[in-house]
Amino acid sequence: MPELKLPEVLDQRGAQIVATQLLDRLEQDLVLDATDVRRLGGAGLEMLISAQHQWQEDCKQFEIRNWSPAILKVLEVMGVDPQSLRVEVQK
Amino acid sequence: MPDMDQFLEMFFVECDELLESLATGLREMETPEHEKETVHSVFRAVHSMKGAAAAFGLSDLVTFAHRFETVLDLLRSDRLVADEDVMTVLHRSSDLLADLVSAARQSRGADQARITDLLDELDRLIGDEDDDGDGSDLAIEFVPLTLDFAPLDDSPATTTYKIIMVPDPELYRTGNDPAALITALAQLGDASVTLNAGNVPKLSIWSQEEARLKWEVDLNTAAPLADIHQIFEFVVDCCQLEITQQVDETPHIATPDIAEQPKNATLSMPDADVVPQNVEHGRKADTPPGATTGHVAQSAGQAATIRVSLDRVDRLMNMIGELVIKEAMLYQVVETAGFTEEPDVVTALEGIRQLAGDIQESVMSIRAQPLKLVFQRMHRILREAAEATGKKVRLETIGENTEVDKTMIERLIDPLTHMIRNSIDHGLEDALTRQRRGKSMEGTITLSAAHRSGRVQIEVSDDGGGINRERVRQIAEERGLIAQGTTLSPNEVDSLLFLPGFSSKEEVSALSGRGVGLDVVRREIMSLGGRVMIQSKEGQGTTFSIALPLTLAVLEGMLIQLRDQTMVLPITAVQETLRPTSATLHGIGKHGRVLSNRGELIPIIDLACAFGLRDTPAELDGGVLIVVETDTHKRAALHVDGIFDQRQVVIKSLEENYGRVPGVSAATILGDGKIALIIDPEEIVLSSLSEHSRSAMAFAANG
Repeated sequence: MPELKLPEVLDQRGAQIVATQLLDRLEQDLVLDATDVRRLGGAGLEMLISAQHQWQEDCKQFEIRNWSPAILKVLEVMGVDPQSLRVEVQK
Repeated sequence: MPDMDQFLEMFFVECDELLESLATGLREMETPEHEKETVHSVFRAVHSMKGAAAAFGLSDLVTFAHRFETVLDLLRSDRLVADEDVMTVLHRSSDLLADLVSAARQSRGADQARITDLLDELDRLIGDEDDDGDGSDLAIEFVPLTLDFAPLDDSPATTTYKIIMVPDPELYRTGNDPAALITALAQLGDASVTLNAGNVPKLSIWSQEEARLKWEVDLNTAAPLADIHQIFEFVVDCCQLEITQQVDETPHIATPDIAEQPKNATLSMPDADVVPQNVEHGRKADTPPGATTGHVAQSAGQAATIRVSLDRVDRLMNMIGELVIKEAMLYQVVETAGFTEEPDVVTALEGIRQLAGDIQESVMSIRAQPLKLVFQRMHRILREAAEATGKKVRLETIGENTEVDKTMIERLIDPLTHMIRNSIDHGLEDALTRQRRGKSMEGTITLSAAHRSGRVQIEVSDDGGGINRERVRQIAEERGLIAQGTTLSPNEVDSLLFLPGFSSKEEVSALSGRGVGLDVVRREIMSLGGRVMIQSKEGQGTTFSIALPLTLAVLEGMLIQLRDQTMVLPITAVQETLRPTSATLHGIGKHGRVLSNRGELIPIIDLACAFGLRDTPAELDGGVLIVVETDTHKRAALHVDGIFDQRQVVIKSLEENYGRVPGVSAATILGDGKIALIIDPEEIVLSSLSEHSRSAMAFAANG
């Protein structure tokens, strides 16, 4: 499955950059690698959720891997279950 | 508060960016054509810092930022004019804010006297304009959050609030973070967070202009409502907020660890109509998989960045160097075996080459940082020095984004500080003298950086009076640094400034003139493998140039042929290459030859001769001329037998084993395993030019 690395900082600017990259990969199964992410702001989160919605609608696989423990913590604080940010398609 | 620590670190990172935009904005405000938006952006920077600082209970910072912001608010609503006095106070305030942030970062106290002084100055600017801008409301506003964890015994009743927060895009834009706000809430009691993301559209129609995330926090706390409002105090204008009270009272069982946090100490008995509340501690809670409800738990996580010692990065860099060499060797083998026509082989080789290049670049980028980090600091040094000497000085920076190795960034701060102070103290004349000489009363110091000839060149220049060589010479003689009456060229006189113990200022000033300074600068730069040069024109100013190597660099080089030797010429020095034609060549004297190029006559140097590979310069017909320019803008045409490739080479230092070799900066290993020397065009040109001028002088003297 094609992979895309998420940048270190997913603030407003970072979110915009990633959104553009993601729009180039519509209608494909996709894995995002979150290894490098060390800051996740509200805008970044919203963009990822928006992407999940998109992939859900397109019925394509979507997964974000390798969250760092620190960011998992941030997700938890914001009330996000990392498991909810994926789309599983039965083939 | 481990939860807080992580956000605190983010806050500081954020602060660095805000401080930078604050300082840049303030400087922009000094230009007459600045836009109103600049003032707004400066205001926003301070405002955001204040907001975030309040969430962390950094009261010094908040108090000061608040007053600072009040003045900026007057400016942006045109109730105050940003004249010179005001700008000075603003700059100093921005400096102090930076200090307060760094004090908070290191958890040490701030210089209260300085804060009070500046607060007074800011108050003076605020005047009667803004009666509600200080005093009473400050006292309420800046109660640090940490005090809000009231012991349970004292306030047995807890209340459940439902807090609904819908951030505007503006909230994200100002660097505020929902996670930090929620964490601050969780500090007050037991919080259960639900994220409602149902309104978020799919990506193809998603836009940052609208923010649609909605958080609902059920907070069971003993803290008063005011504390909750306080957390949101600085984001209310960029966030829809709804706080409703759900429960009136709940009985309590105090637990022994209340001192730490009250949140897992409550046993709640919700009223019938109330949302279920969390009784258990976050980490013990079972969050069912797939649900979007999370609990705020204690942080067991670690930071997403790691510290790596530079040694390790260096080792990696060395190995990559080997990889590049091996790759070149492989290519050579493949070529010898005649496989270069096979598309598969070529593709695979190209892939390896690309990959090696990418790896190399990423490792270099780990260490590279823009000089902006240093330059930014110099604004402050300049302001302080200008204040101390009473001179008016402006700093111009060019090429801030030039990247250099991280170690250099750190080690450049001291030398540059010295040089800037030196330029202000010794270089620039006082306003009166400047006026008499027909210059503008305000002096200018220019700080520039650029990559030149495979080196990083940093220049500190002033538009002052230039070096008074007579005086320098006299002092050096008085101090016994040189013998009386020694014959010295102007350049040699200038270099006297770098001698230890040299100090030209009669009286020791607060800034410089204590005999330490330029010699320390030179030592530091030399220990970085660089060199310092001075150029000075009487009445026009002085320029100090620092040329630094790119230590880890892999160099883009031109492979040239000198008889049977292959050598590498750094591509950065090369201006153009050409085949000589008789029309462009001129002879001077017996051996001297010059090339007429773009309206300029430039000397031709036979490289093979310079390296002792030939005794007399070869005929120019067969070879190629490479026009190079040195750091000091001197040009020369190097005559070589041929050019056969251009590629990246890995620099291997010779100095460890051979000491300094004149005209050679380093060596590299080529694909066939042979060693090629990397030429230092700077040295070649300079040494040969002085020879030229000497022979020309001799020629002139003998008629």
